[in-house]
Amino acid sequence: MQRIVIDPVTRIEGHSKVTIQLDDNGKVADARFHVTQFRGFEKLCENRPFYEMPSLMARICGICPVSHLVASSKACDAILGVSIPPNAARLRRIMNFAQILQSHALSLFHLSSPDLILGMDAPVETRHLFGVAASAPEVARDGIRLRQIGQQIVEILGGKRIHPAWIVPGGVSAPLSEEKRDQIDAMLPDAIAALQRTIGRFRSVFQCFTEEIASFANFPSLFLGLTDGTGKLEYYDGPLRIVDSQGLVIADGLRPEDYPNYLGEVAETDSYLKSAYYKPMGYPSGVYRVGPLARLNLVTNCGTPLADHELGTLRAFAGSPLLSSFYYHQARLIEMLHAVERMGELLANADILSTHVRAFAEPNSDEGVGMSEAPRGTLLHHYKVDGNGLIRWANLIIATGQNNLAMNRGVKQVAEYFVADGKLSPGALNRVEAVVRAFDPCLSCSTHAAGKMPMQIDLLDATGMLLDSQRRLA
Amino acid sequence: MKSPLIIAYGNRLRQDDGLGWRAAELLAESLPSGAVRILESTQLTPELATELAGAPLVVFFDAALNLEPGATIAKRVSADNQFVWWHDLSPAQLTALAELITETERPVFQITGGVAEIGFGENLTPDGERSARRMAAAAMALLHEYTMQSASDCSFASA
Repeated sequence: MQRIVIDPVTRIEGHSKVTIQLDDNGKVADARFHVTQFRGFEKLCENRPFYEMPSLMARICGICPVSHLVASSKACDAILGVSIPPNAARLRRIMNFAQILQSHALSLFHLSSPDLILGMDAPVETRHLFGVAASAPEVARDGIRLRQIGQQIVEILGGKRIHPAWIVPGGVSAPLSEEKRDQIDAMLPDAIAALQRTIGRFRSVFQCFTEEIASFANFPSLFLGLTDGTGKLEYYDGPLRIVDSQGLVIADGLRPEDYPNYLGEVAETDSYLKSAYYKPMGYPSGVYRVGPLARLNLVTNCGTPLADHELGTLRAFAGSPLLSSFYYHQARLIEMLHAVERMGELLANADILSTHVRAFAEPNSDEGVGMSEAPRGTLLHHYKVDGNGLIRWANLIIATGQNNLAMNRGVKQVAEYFVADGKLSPGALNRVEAVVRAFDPCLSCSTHAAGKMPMQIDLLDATGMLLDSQRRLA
Repeated sequence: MKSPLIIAYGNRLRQDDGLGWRAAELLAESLPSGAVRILESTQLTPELATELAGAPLVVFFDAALNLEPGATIAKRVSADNQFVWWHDLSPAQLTALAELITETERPVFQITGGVAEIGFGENLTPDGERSARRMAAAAMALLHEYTMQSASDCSFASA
């Protein structure tokens, strides 16, 4: 037996490694994606007042703090027992869309475009954002600009780009001024133009990756995400839908607060990242995917004209549902377009400057669940409080954990496809990393296995022969 | 033509680490409104590259651990294409990225000031304040040299 270790996996958010186990013939026997960092937010928030949770939980991540603000505030809304003012929901949506724009731009341009523009086999010395800027400055320029626009909108609304404290239990802390509305509105045409240029450029680029489309986590699975209740794309509210690999709806109208009935989580011995699965199908058969690809697979359409046009084009070319995780990249582009269109619609709402943006109440429930769509997929925060409103228990289910089973299968599939004669060429190594990048995992967000830390320690000799193995369960 | 761009970076919550921000404030107070564009940031991110476009002169303000408290150094920044992905960039890397995506070059300088303390705190030490004033004076000299603006109202130049 021989083992190949890729450590660290690069150009992702967080710290991880991949182990590929070969058999005696040099063929891939198994491959695993290990998350090597640990976080403990579910424990450290205990005994804190519930109204601190949005700001506390936003510190989980510097890339998608807004997602945690939204899901956490929704859980707190449920503890308060309030329906927030309609304009507060609109404003929360705008900030969430802005964050989706900046996060998707980061993933596609800063992290994955070196593979896509320069090629999976390009020298590692040039396979980075600077290499893209040298080879295709217009791509880098648009990518940087798109991320900047998303960041600036978050800053205009919340006062700062990272960890804004503007989304609060009961709504948002301040209404939108006319000046700020116009400032945001003025940026949107620039974003639309950059996205349309990018989509045009990438259309032919993506067609060069037939082997990657075939092998990048390309298998039947379930897809899970929010809809607006009528089958359109939804990021902030609404019931969950699950479709299968044929596109058939197998569950619809699922309420977030009922999640223990349909979602399960398993802690593995070799990773701090838990694996979520669809409970009715059991573990690991209930593998499902979330995020841009899943969202587009489970909706009838986006609900905005430009994004719908691009989704139609993609479906006409590649079919529906899309099973290859390589299509996460295209899905991100379509979602960015949709996010900008929806921000324009929301800003045009006649009541967007309404000053009624927050509901106040004392805790009216000892439990609250908040769910929303983060850039990487469905995000859930669940809190229980005592009579004084102090957090007694918290559970977070993060998008990356929900994709963990699929990522592991994807890593193995790519390894089987590209590892030859027991050797990992630089191009093959990059493809193993690139399949992980396609999911855009955020490991800082998703390692919350506090209290469930099974571990396996293998003792190997100098040749890699296994001498001893100790396993500790949860 | 856009205004000269000043990018002040550092952490204002860590005493003298925020002296770049203070130097930018002092510079702004001593110039007519709009004479320079000032961006403040805790670190240099790739998004700042687009901000360099069209600027006739770019000056980075930062705190330096390797300088004596109160001392300052101004140096020309050369583009550095040796990129390693991390959460922030150096002025040289940001300059390189800006040159690549804007396909133009511009004079770029970095002015750093020595720190006395970088513990928790929102105020500069007296040495940090002295560094900031000297940095602002050095920037004023660069502005005069590159954009021919008057530095006659530079009240802090001899501080």
